[in-house]
Amino acid sequence: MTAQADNPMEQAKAAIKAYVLSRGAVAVGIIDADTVERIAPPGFGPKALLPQARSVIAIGVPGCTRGTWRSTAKVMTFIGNSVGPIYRAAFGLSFFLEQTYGQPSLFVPPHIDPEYGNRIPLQSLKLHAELAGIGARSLAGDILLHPEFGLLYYGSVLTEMDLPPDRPMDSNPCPSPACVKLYRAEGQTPCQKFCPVECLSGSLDEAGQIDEMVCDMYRCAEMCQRYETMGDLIHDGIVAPTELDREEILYGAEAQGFLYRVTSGIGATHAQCFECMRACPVVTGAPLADPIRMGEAKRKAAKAKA
Amino acid sequence: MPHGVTERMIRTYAPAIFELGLNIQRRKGDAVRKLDWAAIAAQRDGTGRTDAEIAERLGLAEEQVTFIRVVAERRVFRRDQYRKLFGLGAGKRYRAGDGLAAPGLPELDAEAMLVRQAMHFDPEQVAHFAAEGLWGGETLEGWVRARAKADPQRVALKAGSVSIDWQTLDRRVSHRAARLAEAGLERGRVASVEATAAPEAVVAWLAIARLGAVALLLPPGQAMLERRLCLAKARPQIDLTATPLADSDAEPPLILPRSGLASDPVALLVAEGGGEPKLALHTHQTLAAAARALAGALTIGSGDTITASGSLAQPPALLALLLALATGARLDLAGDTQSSWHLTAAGEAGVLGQARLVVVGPPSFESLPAGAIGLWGRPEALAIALGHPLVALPGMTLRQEGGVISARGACGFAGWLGEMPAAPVGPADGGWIAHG
Repeated sequence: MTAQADNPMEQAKAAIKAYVLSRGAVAVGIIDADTVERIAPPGFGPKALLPQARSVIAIGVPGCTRGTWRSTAKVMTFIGNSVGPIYRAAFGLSFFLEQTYGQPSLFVPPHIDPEYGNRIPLQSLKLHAELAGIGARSLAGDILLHPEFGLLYYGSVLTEMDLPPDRPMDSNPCPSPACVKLYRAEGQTPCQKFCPVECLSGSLDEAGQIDEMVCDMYRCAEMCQRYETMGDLIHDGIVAPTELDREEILYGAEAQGFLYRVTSGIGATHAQCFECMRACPVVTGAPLADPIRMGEAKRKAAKAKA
Repeated sequence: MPHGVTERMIRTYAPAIFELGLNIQRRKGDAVRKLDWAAIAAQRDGTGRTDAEIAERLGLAEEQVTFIRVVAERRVFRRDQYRKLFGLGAGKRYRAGDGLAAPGLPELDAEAMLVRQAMHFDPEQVAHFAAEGLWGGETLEGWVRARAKADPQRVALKAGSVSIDWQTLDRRVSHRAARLAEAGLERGRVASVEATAAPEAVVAWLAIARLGAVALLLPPGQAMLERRLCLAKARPQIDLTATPLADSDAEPPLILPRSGLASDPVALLVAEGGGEPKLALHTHQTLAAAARALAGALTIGSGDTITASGSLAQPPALLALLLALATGARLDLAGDTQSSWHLTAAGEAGVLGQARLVVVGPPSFESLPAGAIGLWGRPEALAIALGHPLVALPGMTLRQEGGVISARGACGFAGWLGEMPAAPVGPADGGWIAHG
């Protein structure tokens, strides 16, 4: 028996990975809470939510089908994301940890900090995942990319267990060779070129690596969040110059479409935009970017193991 | 004032707070992935400061920073950007400057809204027109585009020794439209035209239509006082009556503003009734309905030549132009004289043959010349009925009550412009237009 197999925390780590993979995740990594605390802004590290947190477990679930990527942006705004499976895997993991190991554990709400409006998250799930080695920051507004799976959706669990940490990725799949080529020719990578609000800019260095990434988040938010829309509609409705203008603002197609999303909780979002990811060669071309191929590979691996 | 913050404080601190927050993210290299602690610390400002950190830096309270930041974020937020997604995906990607930046119809200004507010169609009639196919999506300048594409070299207009083919007409219209747009003509606004029986007047009107604007067609030789009254009612954004019109055959600019819709107003016709002149407002649909109904009744086709005399502001020549646009027939403009109000179609074996069609205002055709066909048409409805006794044209209905003949139908006008209160007859009265 190896030393690793003798270590109960190593055994727990293996059990955690097996659990989340069985719940639909494809990537899982662990980082110690102190490392996250060192980078997160004051008051937004793991211990702000779970004071005795020792470890952060980051989980990645896959995105949508190839057909969805090829569909219209309208369709993608409804079914492009994978928030549901995150709840299933990460929320379930928090119960699994307490039931199996008796250690306090917490599913990190992937939501805003209500004290500061709607642009400040309780935690940076991106930071957790990056430090845990299941994604690297891209030129597309720092959206994480995975070399094997492309675009993943991330969730986190905090625990008081002292689990053996993983490390960040050794290399970054962004930019891909095709993106470097386009940047050399046109001065823009595909994500920068095709962003509908032109919120992305930045540069590559001589070696074709990221020199600088700049994202006008406030522009991206107009497509991906739209949290100001409700107040904006009400305000504009109040100051509308005519009754017809008021009807259009409060009851028109735009207002109805927005309120449908808010009230039905489609994908738990008000809005989504995937145009930078649609143009990304890593997202669409990674070996296991397609969930179907991903599933086949998973089954094949399980069969070989058996 | 929330948290003791004034509007001036917002203006003072908002730019700094907006910049220091999460709104603009800047990252050099790949410091976090590489756990390069010095680089991570060096670029903390780029990844966004918390409200507490910003408050400490600016000497404000955290609540004040939160309030100012949220207000600033709301004020720069553009709700309409999301519409861009409606045209993307399934093979189509955004490209800078491809027009998605200005989605939707341009807003009409207050003057254009006055024109809109003069329109009073009867709702039941409109439903009937749509169901029967009497109204559709055809526009006058759309006809020109279609003819220019299908039959570019065919002669569209002839005036004296000058012939203009459809391709040239289309190009001249685009060129004129671009110049009018440069001069400031906007969708829904009125431009006045001296409606001579000349190609330049035809081009000017179609160019105005191509911009989604409305042409006030004024007859040449109109009395000064009458013209002033017309201009006062129409309030044109651009007055072309004082401008010599010269067309260009050069390549038109590639990008033109959005064209008018079929339901948009496109022409104001002067109706004289003894008192002040009144302005009858027509849409593409009412004019197209008149042309289609008459073309069908007279079986005019693309092989015909229609000769018209008189001003384009008057029903006979105006109808001749509409017939030519609708059917592809050649239009010969015979001059501005109003001494012979007629149009003649010849060519294909239609009802007209070599006959002469006399257009008369009142619906009485007891003394027509031999071989002539009487048409009851007027500015409020260009093609109502034919013959003696009268037979309503397709899409039109006649009613006789107490010796008064009334008509209504698909070519009936939209309303009077500039009449206060609204005129007692016409579209406001179930669409009925009384004779007299």
